[in-house]
Formats: sequence, C-alpha cells, structure tokens
Amino acid sequence: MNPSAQDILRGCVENLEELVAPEISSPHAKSAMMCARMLINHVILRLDQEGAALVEDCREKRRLLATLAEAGEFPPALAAEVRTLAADAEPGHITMTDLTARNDAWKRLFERALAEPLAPAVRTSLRAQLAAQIGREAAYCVPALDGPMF
Amino acid sequence: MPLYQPLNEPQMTAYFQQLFPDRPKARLETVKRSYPGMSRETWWVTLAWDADGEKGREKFVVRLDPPGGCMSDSPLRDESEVYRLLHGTAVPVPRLVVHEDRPQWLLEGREFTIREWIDGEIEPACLRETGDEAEAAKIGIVKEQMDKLAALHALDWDSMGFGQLLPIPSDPENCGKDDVVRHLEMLDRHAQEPLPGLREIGRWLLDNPPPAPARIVLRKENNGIGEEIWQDGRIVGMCDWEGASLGDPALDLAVAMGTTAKYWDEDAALAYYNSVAPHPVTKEAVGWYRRFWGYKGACALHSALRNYNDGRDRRVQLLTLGCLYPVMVQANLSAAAQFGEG
Repeated sequence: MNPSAQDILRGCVENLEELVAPEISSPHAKSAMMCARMLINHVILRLDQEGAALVEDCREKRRLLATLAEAGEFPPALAAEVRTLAADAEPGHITMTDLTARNDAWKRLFERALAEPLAPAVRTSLRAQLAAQIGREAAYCVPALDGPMF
Repeated sequence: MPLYQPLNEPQMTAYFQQLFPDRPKARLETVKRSYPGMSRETWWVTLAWDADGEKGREKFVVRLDPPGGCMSDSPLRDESEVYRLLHGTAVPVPRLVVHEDRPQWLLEGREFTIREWIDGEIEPACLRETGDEAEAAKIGIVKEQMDKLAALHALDWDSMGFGQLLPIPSDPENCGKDDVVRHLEMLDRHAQEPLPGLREIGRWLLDNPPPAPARIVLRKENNGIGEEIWQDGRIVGMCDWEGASLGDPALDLAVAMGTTAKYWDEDAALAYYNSVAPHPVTKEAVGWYRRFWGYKGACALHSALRNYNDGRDRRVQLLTLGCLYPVMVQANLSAAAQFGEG
C-alpha cells in the first residue's frame, strides 16, 4: 500500500503537531498528546529497523552461545538447550519496502493479464485470487473503520 | 504546505471593500470555517459596514481549495459556473456573487468563490423527533428531496450551457459505462500503486451495465440529508455542486437514499419520485448505481492520496479515506461479483 505504514504515521505526527497541539489547553491532554507523538515516532523507526535488528541479534547470540556450549563453558542442561534451539535455522528477514515492491511487481503483471481477452475460466481463476488478496487486505483495513470520522 | 491556512482576513477585507465601494468602512465581523470541508474549504463571513449612523451587515460564503489543492480533478471555476447557471431555475441554489481568479486577489495563490448566504438548517429538526406527527414530517422531508431531484432532472441542461461545462455521455445507453470508464481513466492518471482488484471490479461493472435511462440529465451526485439547506421542511438551497455531472438520474436517487432510507423506505421514495419526475427510474438502475457510488468513491479517494504522497496535503483524513475505504469497497463489490466463487 502506498503510502507505507511509516509514512501514514509520519502524517499522524504532522497532524498532531500542527492541528491538534495548538488546540489543547488541558495539561493532561497535552501530556498524553506529546507522549503519543513520541511513541508514534518510535514506532516509525521500529517498523523500519526492528526486523533487521532482531535477525542480527539472533545470529550473534546463536554464534556466541553455540561456541561457548561446544567449548564446555556451560552446564550440560544449558548446553543441551542451546543445541536444541540452534538446531532450527534462523528465520530470514525482508523489509516491508522490498516485500511491497515485489508484491507490486506481481500486481502489475496481474493488471496486464486481466487487460487481455482471456478465456472465461482463466479470468475466473484470476478473479478468485484477487478475492483472496482483497480478503487479506480487508482483514487489516476494515476493522479499523469502526466509527464515524466526521 | 501548511495543513491549515487561516482565511487571510486583511486580504479578504480589502477584497470586499473594492467589491462593495458603497459600503463605508466595510470590515469582517465574523469569520468561521465550516466543518468538515475535506474536498474544499468553506468559510462563513459576516461583512459589516457603516450605513447612515447604523451598522449594515451581510453574510457570505467563501469557498476555495485547501492549501494542497482539491481532492478531485474538478476546478473550482466549474463549480462556480454550476451555481451561476442554476440560479433562477426551479432548483434553489445560493446566488454566485463572484468567482475571483485575478492574481492580485488570490488567497495564498488560491482562487475563490463568494456566494450569498441562505439562512436555514442542514438537517431538518423533525428528523430528530419521534411520534406520529414527526414520522409524517420525515416522509415529507424525503418527498421534498425527491421533488428537488425531479426538478433538477427535468432541466434542459443542453440549452442552459451545461454541455459546454461537463462531459456528455455518448448515448443514454452508455451512461453507466461512461461513468465507469471515467473512473478507470482516473486510476490511469492518479493510481498510487497497482490496483488489479479495483480495475477488475470496474470491468465487472462494465460487463453488467444498468438499464438505459430515458434521457441524460444534470445530476448533483452528492445530495441528501446533510447536503442541502432547509427551512420549514423545504429545501431553500442546494449546495456543494463539485460533483455535478451529466448522466443517468438513478445515481442521484441511489446517493439520496443513502441518507433518506431510514426515514422513508426506498420503494416508496422511488415510487414518489417516479410520480413527479419527467421520466421514470427503475429500482434495478438505483441498485446498480448504489454499487457504482461505492466504486466511484474508492477510485476518487485512492486517487486523492497523490496529494498526500507528493507532500501537498498531509491531512490524516486523506489517509483514512484513501487507504481504508477503497479496501472495504473492494471487499464488498468483489463479493457481489462473486470473484471468490471461481
């Protein structure tokens, strides 16, 4: 989706700063607004960086703990637990930016395919996949529309 | 670009002074912005001046694009022209005082429109009341809405000059298809990402068009309770003509019923419309246009994200409307089209 989650949050911060903050007179509301603004800025950074940071941290801890366990530095029970966890490969990480670009590439091909004069069965199969895509997107968009905006 | 731009009161005062040179010491007494005013800003101003030892007063409505530009492609000048062309007809609209686009008077680069103020209420008071008398009054309100739509749809738009202002469908048979194609072309110009689902729903609407209307009419589109000015159960001013178009009258009925159906059921309202309108509208056409209205909103609101993404308009309402609403519409219409049942 364009704008990205991060840019949506940047817009929220801009609106809080320019439109909401000047209107607030209650110190309690002002404090809550300032904290909300900081937390949104935190989430903007976190969305961008947390995945890569967790992957890197897992790799470093795995390497160090596995080395120390193999060197006999830990009690047998702890070393066994390290070996158990290390038996599973570490999950990979791809940024939302890269994943979105990849998904957009497939969606563009879908648009081109649907613009062709297709056999009815082919169009039906493409539409079924679109229904699945829309259903997944609706799961994280529609529940947010839970009241009037104006 | 600022998220909020107060009306430039010194500039506006100077403007009114040159507009009304016979009003000594003309000044702005009150300035209030209407709510919510997402697509265009509307300001209510009271002009005061000295008149023979007394104070003269007149209220006006000033309308202009937001600092980041209009959400739609429709220029403010076209909307002003609709007010000018409709004034004096059976369709009540506020009188256009002036559309100003001379460089020396622009408000931070924005042209603006001034129109007369009409006293009234946006939501008739009887709609909030209960009891038999109120129920009858509510039906009267819906009938009034239908009466005014029928009056609008009866206008000879071609001789009035609307054909030079608005796109004309190629044929009554093609009204629905032309409406869809215009919005697919809007996506071609403004889509912020690939949207195969929205485009395919457009194809489905094209493949399943509504029955042709008897004739092409002038439509208000954005109409219903909350969109007009009411006095004593009568519409005295129809406002917000930004979406005015030529096409099938069924669209106006589908939109109106979005706010009137809870006061009088749709079948009864449609039967009443057909008893006062020059040409009947079918229930099937209203149903098709109800879906189209959702589709149109999804295309237009997604397209408005261009103003956010290029930094011109960062209001969060654009995000709620442009990111979430189109997904909900796609979910509803893809289910109606049975996309998932392949």
